[in-house]
Amino acid sequence: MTVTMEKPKSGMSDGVYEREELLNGCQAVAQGVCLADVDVIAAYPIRPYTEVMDALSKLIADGAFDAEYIIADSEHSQFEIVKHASSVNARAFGGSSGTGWMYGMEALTVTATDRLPPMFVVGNRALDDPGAFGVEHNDAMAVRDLGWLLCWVTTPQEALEHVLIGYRVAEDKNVRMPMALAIDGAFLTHSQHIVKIPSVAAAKKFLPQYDLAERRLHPDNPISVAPQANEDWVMEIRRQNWEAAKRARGVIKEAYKEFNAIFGERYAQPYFDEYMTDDAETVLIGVGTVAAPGRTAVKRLREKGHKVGYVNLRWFRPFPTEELRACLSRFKSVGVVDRDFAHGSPDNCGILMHEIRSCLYPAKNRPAIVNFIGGLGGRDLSIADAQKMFDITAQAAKKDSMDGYITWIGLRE
Amino acid sequence: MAEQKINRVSLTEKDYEGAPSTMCRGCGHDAISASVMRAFYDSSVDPRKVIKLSGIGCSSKTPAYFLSQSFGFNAVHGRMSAVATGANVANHTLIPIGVSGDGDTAAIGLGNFCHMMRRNVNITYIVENNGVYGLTKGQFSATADKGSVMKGGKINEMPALDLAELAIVLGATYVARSFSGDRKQLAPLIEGALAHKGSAILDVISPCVTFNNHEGSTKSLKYVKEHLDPIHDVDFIPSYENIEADYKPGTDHMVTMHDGSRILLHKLHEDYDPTNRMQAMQMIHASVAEGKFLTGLIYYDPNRPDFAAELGLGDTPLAELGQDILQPPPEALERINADLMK
Ligand SMILES: Cc1ncc(C[n+]2csc(CCOP(=O)(O)OP(=O)(O)O)c2C)c(N)n1
Ligand code: SF4
Ligand SMILES: [Mg+2]
Repeated sequence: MTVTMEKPKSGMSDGVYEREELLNGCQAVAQGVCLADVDVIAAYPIRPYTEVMDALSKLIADGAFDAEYIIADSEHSQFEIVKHASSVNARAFGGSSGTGWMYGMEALTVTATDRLPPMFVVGNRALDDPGAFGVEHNDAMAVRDLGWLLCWVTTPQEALEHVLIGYRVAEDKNVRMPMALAIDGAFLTHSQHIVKIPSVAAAKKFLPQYDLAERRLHPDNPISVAPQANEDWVMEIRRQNWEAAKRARGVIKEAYKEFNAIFGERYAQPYFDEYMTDDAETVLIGVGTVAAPGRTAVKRLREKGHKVGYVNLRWFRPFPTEELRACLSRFKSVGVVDRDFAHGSPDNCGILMHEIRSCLYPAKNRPAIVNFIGGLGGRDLSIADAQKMFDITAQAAKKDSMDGYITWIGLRE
Repeated sequence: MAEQKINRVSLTEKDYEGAPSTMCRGCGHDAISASVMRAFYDSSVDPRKVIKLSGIGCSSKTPAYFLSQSFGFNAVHGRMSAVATGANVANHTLIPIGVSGDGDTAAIGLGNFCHMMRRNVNITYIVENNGVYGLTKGQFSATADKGSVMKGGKINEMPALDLAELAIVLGATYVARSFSGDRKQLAPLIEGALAHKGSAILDVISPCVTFNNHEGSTKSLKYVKEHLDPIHDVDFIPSYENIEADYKPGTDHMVTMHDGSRILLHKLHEDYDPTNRMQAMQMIHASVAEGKFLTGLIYYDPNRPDFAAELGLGDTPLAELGQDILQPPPEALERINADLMK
């Protein structure tokens, strides 16, 4: 299945999209927040996320958007404000990057265990130390086991649209989980594209009002949030989280269907998209903006007759187990690109590799699978790097040993 | 070649320098670095016995620009006070100088800052206060004055947190406020802080020329200069100087530090006694009400022991105690066991 992910297909004449603007990823997210009619925003600056909060405060100051905007004294307070706003039925938004995201980890954990559905943008940034402003995915990945929805996008257009899609999924009564929208630092947060901005009416049509219903914290609805439950109930509560995460897969599918119905055929598949994979033998799979050099390398290799393709994984949580298993089983070899690390883990692979390998274990036709770790701390992953990864991945199909199973790409040695 | 000037430990001014600054040209933080170097040189402190601490921010980058021979620890955002507390317990013989910002100290690091002062950890702690998060491009910090205008036009509606007042309340024992551009006042105040044993907090107004130096900002160079309200002129007299200070009974106030050095305050404000806690607080309140920046040595407590003394750490730092001292002998365990069997 081949799709181009760049521009919405429907025109502006049908009233679905209102105007075009040159926006970077952060500004596009801010437009999404505005269209989602968010009630409460809390903020604390850290690069590269800072530009999201700056763009939002500008929209409010310019009178284009009305929301409570609170500058917190740290990420921890910021996330707590967002969480509490969400619990009283306000649609709430926050965000951070790298070490800031980690600083608020306690609050991020309870937001998930309390089953509240605010949205946070993570402008992916390397964790301290050593200091680096560039992209790395370990920050967002830190919430992967806590009961969060976690999704990566690759363009400002997708970023805007996934604010709407994200709230839609998170707030669904069958889900009610917090949503982390991950955007690669610099490569997406600060790269500009022409973005088509949906009309308010279309956004409203797609995203219903937030309603926490019976779990709304309100004097008229006296409930307790976050009680001490101990061994009496913790298992059952964890099980509820587990089931919600399972159910989220179906809700995501439904959300894309409706999104496509309103906005034109934007997304061929909900959880991931495939590029030139129809007859491919060798594919790379990654999350985030590595898709750009990945797809370009595919185009160039195809010109030389290589049967290659690229799979861009969008939803990491919930993980699209069945669908991805079916997809990747079609190929001879798969190269997994990790812009993260999992030191000391099985075979010392990256996080994405573990998830994909685990997903493929029950598959009848298991492809050969190799791992690449690269682009850490914001280092560029170039088209030449991608071509090299395709080459190594193609070779893996011919080998029966595990040699070269893991390769650090672009490492100075 | 002309002979180079040296101080009492035979070091030149160059020995107190650091890497070239990367601050914006004209940034107040650079002026403070210059005062820090001046104070260390004049106090004849051996830079190899100094530990420089900081958090995250433009201000927190500045320890790279002075005392390149000293130890350094660049903590994560807001954690300088906690790191300083740990460093002090591990080796209280090092001379600590911390540089932080109003964001680093008064927002994300406020909790740790409070507890450091509560313990009276020995440190010269400079807050380079510009009212904004400079490094992240100029958002208001918790010390931005109410009514101050942001570069984009937004007016700050929140009252400022007064770091000097907070320091007095929480147990700091040397509390001063100054202005980056007033080296004549700032350098002796830093010297006094270095001679003091305990938490010495210097809240130094330091204009951010890039993000907070416009009309309407209360931390712009122009505004600060127009609203400075020095309590006194400050002279620092090191312990080794035996000179009779130019002391005018009735109008001057002399503060004698732990090491015998003295700070001479030539009073501009009448009847001001910096050891009077209540008076110090009242002065701060009065100046805030008038929209002025009170500068000088606002509060000084010569009596409270510092954290290391409170813990009875002795002369040899923990970091230098050998295994033979740190590990109790088998007899000690036997004695404890025998006690338990009684
Ligand atoms: C946990 C965490 N959150 C946010 C940041 C981003 N950040 C870097 S510097 C800074 C503020 C610095 O302000 P201040 O201390 O006043 O220093 P200035 O730059 O004004 O001198 C922030 C929020 C960070 N580094 N770590
Ligand atoms: S941004 Fe402001 S605080 Fe930072 S170096 Fe420039 S002038 Fe100084
Ligand atoms: Mg500041």
